[in-house]
Amino acid sequence: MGVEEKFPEVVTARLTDLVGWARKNSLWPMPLGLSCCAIEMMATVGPRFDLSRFGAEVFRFSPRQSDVMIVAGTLSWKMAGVARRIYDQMPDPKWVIAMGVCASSGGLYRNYAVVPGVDRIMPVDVYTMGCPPRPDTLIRAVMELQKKIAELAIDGRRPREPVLVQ
Amino acid sequence: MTTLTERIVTVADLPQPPGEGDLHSEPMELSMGPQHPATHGVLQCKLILDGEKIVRIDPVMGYLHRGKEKHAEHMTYQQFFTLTDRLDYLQPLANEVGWALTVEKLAGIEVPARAQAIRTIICEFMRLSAHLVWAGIGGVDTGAVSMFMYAFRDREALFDLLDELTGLRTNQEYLRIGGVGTDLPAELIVKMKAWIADFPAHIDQFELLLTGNRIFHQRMRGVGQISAAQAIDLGVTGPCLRATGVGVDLRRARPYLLYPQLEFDVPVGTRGDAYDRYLVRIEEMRQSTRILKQLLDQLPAGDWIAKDWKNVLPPKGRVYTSMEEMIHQFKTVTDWCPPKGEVYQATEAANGELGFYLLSAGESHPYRVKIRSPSFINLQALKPMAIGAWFGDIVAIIASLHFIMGECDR
Amino acid sequence: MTALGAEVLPSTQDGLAAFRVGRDAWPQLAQAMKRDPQLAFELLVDVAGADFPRRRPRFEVVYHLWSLTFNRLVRVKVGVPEEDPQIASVVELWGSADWHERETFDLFGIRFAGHPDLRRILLPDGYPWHPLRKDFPVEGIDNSICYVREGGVLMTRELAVDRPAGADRTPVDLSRGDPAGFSDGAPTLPEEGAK
Repeated sequence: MGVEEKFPEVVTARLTDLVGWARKNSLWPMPLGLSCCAIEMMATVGPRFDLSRFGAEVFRFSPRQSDVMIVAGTLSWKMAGVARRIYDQMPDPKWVIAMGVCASSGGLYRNYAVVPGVDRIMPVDVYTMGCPPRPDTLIRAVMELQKKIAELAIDGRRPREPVLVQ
Repeated sequence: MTTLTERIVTVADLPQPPGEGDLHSEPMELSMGPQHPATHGVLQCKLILDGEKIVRIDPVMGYLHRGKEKHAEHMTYQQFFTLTDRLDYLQPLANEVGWALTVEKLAGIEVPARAQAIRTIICEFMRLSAHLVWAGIGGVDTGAVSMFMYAFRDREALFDLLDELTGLRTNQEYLRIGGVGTDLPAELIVKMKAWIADFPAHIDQFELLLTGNRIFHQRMRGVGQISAAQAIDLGVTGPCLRATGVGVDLRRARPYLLYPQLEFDVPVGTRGDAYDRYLVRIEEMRQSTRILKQLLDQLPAGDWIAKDWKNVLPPKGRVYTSMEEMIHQFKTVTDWCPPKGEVYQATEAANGELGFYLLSAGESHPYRVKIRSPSFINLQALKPMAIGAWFGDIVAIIASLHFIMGECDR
Repeated sequence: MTALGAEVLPSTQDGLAAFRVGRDAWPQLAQAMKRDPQLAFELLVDVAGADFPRRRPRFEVVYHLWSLTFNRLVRVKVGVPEEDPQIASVVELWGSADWHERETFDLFGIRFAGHPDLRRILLPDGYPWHPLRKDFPVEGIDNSICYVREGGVLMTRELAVDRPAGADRTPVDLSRGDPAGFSDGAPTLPEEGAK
């Protein structure tokens, strides 16, 4: 029905490619649902947009079981320490999607309470625009991340430059 | 180093099971959240448990404090719509209505009937949107994951309608002071009517899934019970208050928009437990469809924004073609100053009384805005509801209370 | 209500009955408003602080009370001086005042005498300022202060992002408990051996 019909029995490939292929198609997101974007993130796993088509629907609320953190919403300074701690608890290799302008840059809130972008406290791989981004945008961000992961070295070294999804 | 020795354990060696009454355990401190799937965002509950009984609970919020009230003092009145959207992000337009009514009351702007009707329509759509998310998430929290899929199916269809009206799925910023951003087109009314005709059958589906479901019933019935007196003392409003049997609804008690002319019932519960809160919300969805039907059937004709160009933003199309409107637009955007004064205006949002207390010093930006957020006040009821309950019940209690942290922390 | 020292304020745009009362007369008035069956304000809708730096007294606490019996909404204003920002708590009368007062304390620094548990609610414990005062800038003063906690740095603003994976963890010392301050102001358990 799937892969086994398309390929011969024996395939030769670089291990990096194989691991990358496996990694990118089985992302387990850690939804750090903070505010408005969390609702759109829920819509993304909902029946219409169905993130499972991209192998990334297994939302794990435990950071130990996940490898991509979707920071969905405004990160306040009070929450920042918690968010960082959750990030630290995730096993390597791990990635971060900053969903929405608040997570990317602080967005509307240039004030005493809000962190101007989660990249202040953790490395970000994909930035997403929109307030909140439409579910399509989040799916696009996941696809961009998959591209990055496919190029990843086997030891999980991170390609340096982040991607911006508009 | 201790040496290991072989030892045969007999039944007599085992500690004896405790008899009735002397089963005692140490109190345990447990932190639930701020990152927890059942706390609806970023609420942290510091719990002290005795076995599985909750002895003390201390909700800690502020993880989503975004300084909106401070920001408001540095924004113009029209700009603040962007932030009101993001208060209770399940019902952005209903928050906008609350703010618009507040500012209009301050400045004494008359809103045309059609604009009022459109506002009432979106208020009710927002109530449905918020209750749908509540039903979906509440279902997930109590074990009915398919409820999430059903609720989001309907919500997506609802979003299509709003998308067509406002151009955005959520956080639309559709309202203007003095009216709404665009007219409600006739073909959209047809689509809305079709959606509303379908929707009651979908509510029946939800009820089929949950109302009679034994698991759901056992998880919700008798859980998180508060009395009417307690609820009033704690300032609880909205469905949580009505579930205790107090039929207070601001749409009736302090009417605004077109609600006095509409026919609808205010559902009340009897016991004030989680299950009653569920029933009240389900019935509210039915009543909302009833209201929407009445409004869409007899939508008044006329303007959708007040033609008071000294106070109101003129429509964009005319700004580009007429000199006068362009000047008005420029003046309204740059230095529109409502008179000095103060206003408290409350609306019945999905969670309760959403009030804006606005102090104006006659400047182009508010002097002080206090947002009376229902989520924040209703959350206080968590304490009496949770103390003495089982630890597992707290999820059902939180699900039935339903608060939005964006509104709670502001 | 005027008998209890309340001064009637001119009506504003929303047409609510509004009163101003002295700080000393407020507890008595509150008592009457709750208990007197002629007034019967059962529901405390809102408590708002306001800061007027040029006025004396500088602060104002605005209460909105609702009588469900008579469906009446009133506004009561109580002035609070800057030198001694203190006002009687009404938690005894209306349970909902609890968090309202904590919030007003948090954002304005107005203390509520008799409040059982007056601590910050929205901002982290130990935050040194009261952000809704007019002299506090909207951008904040030193925002990263939320992390730097006594006895160990949990998170600093300088925490670099573009470090190689793994290296970016070194400045974070999480051994000191919850970054959000789990142990601050939490209900405490009896000490080991105290029982």
